[in-house]
Amino acid sequence: MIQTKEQFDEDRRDALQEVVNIAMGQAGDSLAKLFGTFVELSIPKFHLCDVNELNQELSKNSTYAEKMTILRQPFSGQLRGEGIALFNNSGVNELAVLMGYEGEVTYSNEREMLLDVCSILVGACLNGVASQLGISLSYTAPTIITKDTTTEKFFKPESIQWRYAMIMEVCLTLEQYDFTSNMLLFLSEESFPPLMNKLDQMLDEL
Amino acid sequence: MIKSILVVDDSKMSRKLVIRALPEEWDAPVYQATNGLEALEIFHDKSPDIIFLDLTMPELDGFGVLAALQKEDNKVPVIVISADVQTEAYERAIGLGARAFIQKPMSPGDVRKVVQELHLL
Amino acid sequence: MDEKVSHLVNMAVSQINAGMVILDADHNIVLWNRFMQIHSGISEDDIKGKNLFDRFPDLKGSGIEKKIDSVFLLKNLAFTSWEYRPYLFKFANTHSVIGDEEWMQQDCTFSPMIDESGTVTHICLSVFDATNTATYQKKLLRASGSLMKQRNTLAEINKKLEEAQNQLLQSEKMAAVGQLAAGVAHEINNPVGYVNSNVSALEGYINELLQMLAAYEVCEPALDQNNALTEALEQAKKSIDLDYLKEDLIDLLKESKEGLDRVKKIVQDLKDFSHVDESEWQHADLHKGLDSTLNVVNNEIKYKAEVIKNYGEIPEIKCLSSQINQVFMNLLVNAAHAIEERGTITISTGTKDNGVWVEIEDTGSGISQEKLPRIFEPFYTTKPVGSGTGLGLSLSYNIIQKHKGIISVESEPNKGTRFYIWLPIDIEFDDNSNANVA
Repeated sequence: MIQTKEQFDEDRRDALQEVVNIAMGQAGDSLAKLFGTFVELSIPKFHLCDVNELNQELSKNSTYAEKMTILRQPFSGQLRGEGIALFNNSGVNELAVLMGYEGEVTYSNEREMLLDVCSILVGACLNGVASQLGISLSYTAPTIITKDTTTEKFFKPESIQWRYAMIMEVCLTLEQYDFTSNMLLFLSEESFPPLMNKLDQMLDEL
Repeated sequence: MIKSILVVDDSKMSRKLVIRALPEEWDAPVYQATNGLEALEIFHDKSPDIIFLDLTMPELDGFGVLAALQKEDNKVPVIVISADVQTEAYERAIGLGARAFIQKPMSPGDVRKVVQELHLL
Repeated sequence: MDEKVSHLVNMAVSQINAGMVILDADHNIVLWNRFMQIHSGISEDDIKGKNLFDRFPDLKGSGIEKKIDSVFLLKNLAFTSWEYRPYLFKFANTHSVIGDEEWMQQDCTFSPMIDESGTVTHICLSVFDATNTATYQKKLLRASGSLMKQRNTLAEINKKLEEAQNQLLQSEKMAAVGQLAAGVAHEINNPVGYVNSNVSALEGYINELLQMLAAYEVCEPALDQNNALTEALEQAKKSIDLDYLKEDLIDLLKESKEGLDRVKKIVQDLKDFSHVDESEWQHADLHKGLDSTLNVVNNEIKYKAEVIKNYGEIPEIKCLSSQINQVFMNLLVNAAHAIEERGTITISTGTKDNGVWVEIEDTGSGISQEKLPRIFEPFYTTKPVGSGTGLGLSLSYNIIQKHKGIISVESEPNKGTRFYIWLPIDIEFDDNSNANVA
């Protein structure tokens, strides 16, 4: 962990932040085109954290104290990890219209729609990162992990397989639709070396 | 004639990328700023002939810099280079007097192409 | 890629055991592999170049267009899962011999096909048969559902056991209180005994004193009227108001005797009710048992009901009278509880078939026909949670069983309830030792 923190020096952090900012810019643009509305994406925040500090880290953001629906989508390739999408259960009906579901929103199509949005968010953010770093990723179908729970109840240190990870946090808002989703991208430990390599390559080219 | 250049971006890598992309013909000093407030300070001190400006920055963002320049009625050419590529950002920047808008990630020839179009070369 | 490999790829796409459909940017079908042909019954020639949504109108407006848009725009993957959308294409179930699903359950993936310039030109839609997984998953869900149900039942039973334990503790406490009451009654008996005999003696003495006084009064006219002594006597008579004193003395004595009688009665009732000294089968008068029980539970009843006694001629019966009294108490308290405002409780007795019967009838809220068969079950209670233990009637039932008697109930909602008990006059035991186990 200490070693990793040292490895993640200022230049690399700066480079990664820029890569991610650009990726989110592209994601925002694509999402805006897809939904036909202005999309607000927060500036991504990074945490390099130990599993035991995870909840403490997340508790800094008050959104996570609310009950939410939590979805996950694993990704693999040179970067491995999981995208976790958190929805605050509001704006679901408007979102259904946005996602092209006609008629009454049933339990099943609400679930599928949330899965769609999870997949879109994770894909939009990661594809931009992957293409800038020149790597390709593969995605597994997303799943709903839990409904109506708080992150603290969900992220129990003993149930998480890694000891530390890089977490990228983004918040997406569709203001017109009263819809907000928080996304956490967890990069596993074994993804650090290839990620650092790729960042170094970019920095070397300067 | 470009006698000095100001590059504004909170990312060091991004600034380096812009500087590397500057036309060789411009043999001029390059000043760097990491946020809008710093940019305005350097601008008033050094009076650069061209500004490359990021939008999303701490303290004062790119829109803030453009608004300040517009208020001073300053006609220095500003080229926005931003990752915020939604139409709203483009329209707002141009509305505040930006002369051109380059989307991040930049391609190697982007800067040269834009300054040529603006007849700054 | 050389021609041979390219040919192999074509064969693989055609023959892979999954559906593969390629769509262009206008949602027109470019490729429709063998899996799709077999399950849909539509040949590739028939469908090539046709619009997906024209051929399968059910897909319209169900979010699929947006999924495809997102793949084109974001170059990401889009999915459908059988769990939330059982199928994309309505194909007959592959598990046609044994299986619950009518239609093939499908997991589908929309993947972008990206050319050298980074543009998504087509979409590859893969369709996987998930029927087997779905079947097992649903079975598992059912199984876990029934496990959950069983777990809840167990939890309920646990709760009842806990209640039973509390009830046992409670009845032990009651028994202790009964013992204590009997002990106190016994202790009171002695002082009451001598106070009673003293009061009787006192009454005799006072009567004698009064007679004596009367005799003196007869002599009074013989005294010298002007004598100072006579005057003093008159003065004394006046000052103590002798006439009133004589009258009141009688009343006071009478009231004291009545009070003593009441104390004696209460003590006797407590002793009769608890029967600490009678743990064996004895001949007992049920009327006495009923009366003493009524006295004990008087507080529960007096504000609720008027008690009407229709006692017949009944012989003493062989019983464990403390337990029979327990039954009477349960029935009387229940009757009082069943009465919401004010009503009557009628107690009738009589003889029948070498036995004695007792009926306790109330004008209370009654018990519905559905609940009636269950009221003798342990822990069954119609009272609000917390106020009834659900054991009273089942205990009563057991006691009557032990006496080889009969207990039955008739009830009509909003009219009232009637309990009927019949007990044999002389119980005969098959095994005497057994019957003594209370």
